[in-house]
Amino acid sequence: MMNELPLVLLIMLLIAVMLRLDFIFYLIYVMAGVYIMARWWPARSMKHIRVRRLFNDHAFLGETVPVDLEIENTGWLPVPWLRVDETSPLNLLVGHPVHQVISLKPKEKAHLNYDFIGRQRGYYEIGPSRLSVGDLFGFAEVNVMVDRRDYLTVYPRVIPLAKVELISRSPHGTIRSRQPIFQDPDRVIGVREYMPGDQFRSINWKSSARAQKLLVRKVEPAVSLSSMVVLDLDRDAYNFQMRQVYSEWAIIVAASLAHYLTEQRQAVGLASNGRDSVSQTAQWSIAPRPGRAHLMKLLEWLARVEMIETVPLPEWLPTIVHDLPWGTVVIVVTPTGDEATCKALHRLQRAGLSPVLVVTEPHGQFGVVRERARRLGFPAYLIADERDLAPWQTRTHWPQAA
Amino acid sequence: MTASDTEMDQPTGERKKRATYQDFYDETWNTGLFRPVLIALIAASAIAGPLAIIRAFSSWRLTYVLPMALLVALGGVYSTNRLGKPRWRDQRGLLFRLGELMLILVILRLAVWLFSTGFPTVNDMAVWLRHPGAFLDGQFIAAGVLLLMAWGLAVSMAIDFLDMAIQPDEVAAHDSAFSSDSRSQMRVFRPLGRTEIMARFATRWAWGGVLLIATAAISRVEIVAESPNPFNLGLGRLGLSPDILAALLCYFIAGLVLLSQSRLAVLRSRWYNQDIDVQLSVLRRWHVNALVALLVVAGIAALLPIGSTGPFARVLETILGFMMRVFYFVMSIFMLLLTMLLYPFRNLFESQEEAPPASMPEMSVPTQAEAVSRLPDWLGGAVVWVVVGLIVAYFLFNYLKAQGAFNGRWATYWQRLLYWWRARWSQIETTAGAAIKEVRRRLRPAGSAALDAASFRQIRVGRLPPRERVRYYYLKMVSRADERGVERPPAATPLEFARTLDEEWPDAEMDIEALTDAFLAARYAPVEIEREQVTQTQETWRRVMRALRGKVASPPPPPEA
Repeated sequence: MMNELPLVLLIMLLIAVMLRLDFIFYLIYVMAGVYIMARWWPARSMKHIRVRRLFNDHAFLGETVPVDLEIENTGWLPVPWLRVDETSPLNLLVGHPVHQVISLKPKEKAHLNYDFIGRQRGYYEIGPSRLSVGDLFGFAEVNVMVDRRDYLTVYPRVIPLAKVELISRSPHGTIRSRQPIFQDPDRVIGVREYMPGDQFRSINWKSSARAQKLLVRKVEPAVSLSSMVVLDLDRDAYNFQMRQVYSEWAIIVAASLAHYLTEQRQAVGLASNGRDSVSQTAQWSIAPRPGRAHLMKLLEWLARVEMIETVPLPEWLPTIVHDLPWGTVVIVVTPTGDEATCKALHRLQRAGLSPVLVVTEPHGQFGVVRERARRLGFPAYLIADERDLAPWQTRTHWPQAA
Repeated sequence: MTASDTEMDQPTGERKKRATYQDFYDETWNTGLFRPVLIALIAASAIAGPLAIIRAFSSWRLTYVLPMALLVALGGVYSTNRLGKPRWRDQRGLLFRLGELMLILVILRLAVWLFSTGFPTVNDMAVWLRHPGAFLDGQFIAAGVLLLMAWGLAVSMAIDFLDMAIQPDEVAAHDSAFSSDSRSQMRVFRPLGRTEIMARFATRWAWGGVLLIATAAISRVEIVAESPNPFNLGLGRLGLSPDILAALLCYFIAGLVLLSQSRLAVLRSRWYNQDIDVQLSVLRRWHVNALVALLVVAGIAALLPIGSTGPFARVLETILGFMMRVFYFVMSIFMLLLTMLLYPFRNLFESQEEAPPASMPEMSVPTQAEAVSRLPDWLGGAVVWVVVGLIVAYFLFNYLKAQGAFNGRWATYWQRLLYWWRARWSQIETTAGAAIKEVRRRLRPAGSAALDAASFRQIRVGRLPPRERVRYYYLKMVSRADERGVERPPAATPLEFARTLDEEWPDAEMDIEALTDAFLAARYAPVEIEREQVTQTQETWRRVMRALRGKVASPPPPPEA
């Protein structure tokens, strides 16, 4: 009928003209008007529809994120029906995807609500929305893909750590050290009697005057743990069957370490040979900075990073450490502690950095790796699951270090 | 449809109630007065054009036809919607529809008398009795055809809208718990989709509108001899009567609204099958939006210049007039050439001999026998009327019964009347039976034997089963004895009667006793009667019958003084 209507109108027009029936002209006007309006209305309505998503675009694991899909008709004509098909990440969605038909008055806003749950860390695209508008008579239907995409970042899981045995060579930090070589003149903890060999400038003159003998300031040794967490996300480095599980675990370990060091008010940097899903760059690094804001930045990058087939860690590692300050702790989180990795870390150690090897895949002969690392001068830890991390979660126990 | 609503209302984990047939009926779509009224308006308006033509060529008063068409169409939609309900499925069929048509025709007949021709006189009825065809006058036929057209249109449109409702198999597929099953697997084969139904409806409506306009216009055509404008057609200015204008307006406006409704049906089912949530406001505002849109367009159209006065229409009219005149000219030339071409052959078509004058048809004079045996002239008509009346009554009875007319208070009255009649009939039967018995009793000495003999003669003994044959022989003997004056007293047992017979016919004593024994065995013994026994009994019976035939019983002794 949709195709035949013009023909019908033409015949009616001929009858009206030949027989001079004014009323038929009126009917033709009405039918043609309805036809034109039905063709014009949906297209115009679609131009005046605005879609906006209101939600918190960052979420921690397990957190519920309510999403408010706001659809507004900015025009002066009503929208008789509008079908909204929202594209959502199914693994985060609570309930069914949003497929709804609504009606909008002029200048009316409609709100469609749904929830996400941060079940899995990642960087998720929300949208686009497919909108369909049609007329009331079946003459026209307009489908539009609203290319507005929003993104939700779900941070990786962070396991709180209480004490991680990391050895630093950077003096003047805020972390107490057992090595007296790293005495910090700003961390005065008392006075003691002068002994031969004490520096002249360390004499506390006021206390010496009061005590009538020479007293020198007693200071606490402290180190700085400026650290760089290096995350190995080379696909080939992981076990074929369990690579998804252990790559995610490696990310959790890296995030937990970054969180711990930030809590210790240390500067933390992050580098990975994985791919950032936003910038699509592989092999990236973020320079060490202190502070929570920087931690959130690191967590966001960890949320977005993807495992890919890329440059192996031993080849890539030297390229990211050349501008690190002397004594920086380089924590390498990798699935394997093979010989090449150990050699690469040894080179870092010789370059004045403090490498730490953290292996995240189960290793049948980790003792060999640990012994090799000890001989090469850096510690190695096997953190294959959460139980291995338990010693770092309490202050009383220490993980097995080299 | 309702099943899903019910499911939504139930709290999670609560056991789902077993669905009934009502849960699979699209109650929301199929109820309401809006769509039936629109369908009835279209159907009634559609006959306005033919009605206008009939009016133009007849002097009948047909003002009642359009309102009646509206009512008939409304009734058709109503009955179609009722038949669509699951509990009415037993009534679906030709019988119900024929009953509905009969009712329409009966009401129409009354309406024609009431509003146009007046109620018939006795003379009219006498004519109808002799000539039943005279009952179907032109006005009744014309109005009947129009009403049936309106009814048929309404029913077909109502069926279309019923088909566009959400069907039970769709509800079943929608609510299926078997998520692994493909929904299309669960759907029955549907020969026609809703979009096709909608397109069919729209096409019929649009072309029906063209036809309506054409017929309405034809009814008002006036050819004028001379036109002032040489390029114009020779048609006078036309004007349509107000009821035709109203019908045209109703047809197109109601059609557009129904088109919108069919669009809603298509979308609604699509959304339902795709599991899409639909806000109630969409369905609630749909009618309002459609009506407002139509009113706005109609309002703007009313402000536009009238077509025939506009320059475009004038130009179009001139072009059409010119084309018509060119066509006329070309056709004239063509006809002239054809005539000239055929002129030499004119003799071929003329007959050489003049046809003889038509003879007068011979009158058939009935013979004396035919004249004597001729039936009354009203008898054939009466038979026709009885047959027609029975058919109409049968259809009407079925229709009214299906409609539940015989339930409720009227049914109670009817039942009471029925019981009363049965009671009276039972009384009549009892009284008549008693009277007949008495008469028979009184007439018995004269005629009972002959009657019994006649009834016995009618029995084919050879076809009776053995037991019955034995009884037959015995009763035949009793009958023969009765003829010979030895009546069996009603209280006498067979053995007592046998003794009586022995006294009368001592020669046949042995045979009588044997026959009596055979009868008693056949009558009372639970043993099988063999054919050999029957043959022996038959021989015995023949001897007894011969003995009885030979002698008349002595009259009973006179009572002692």
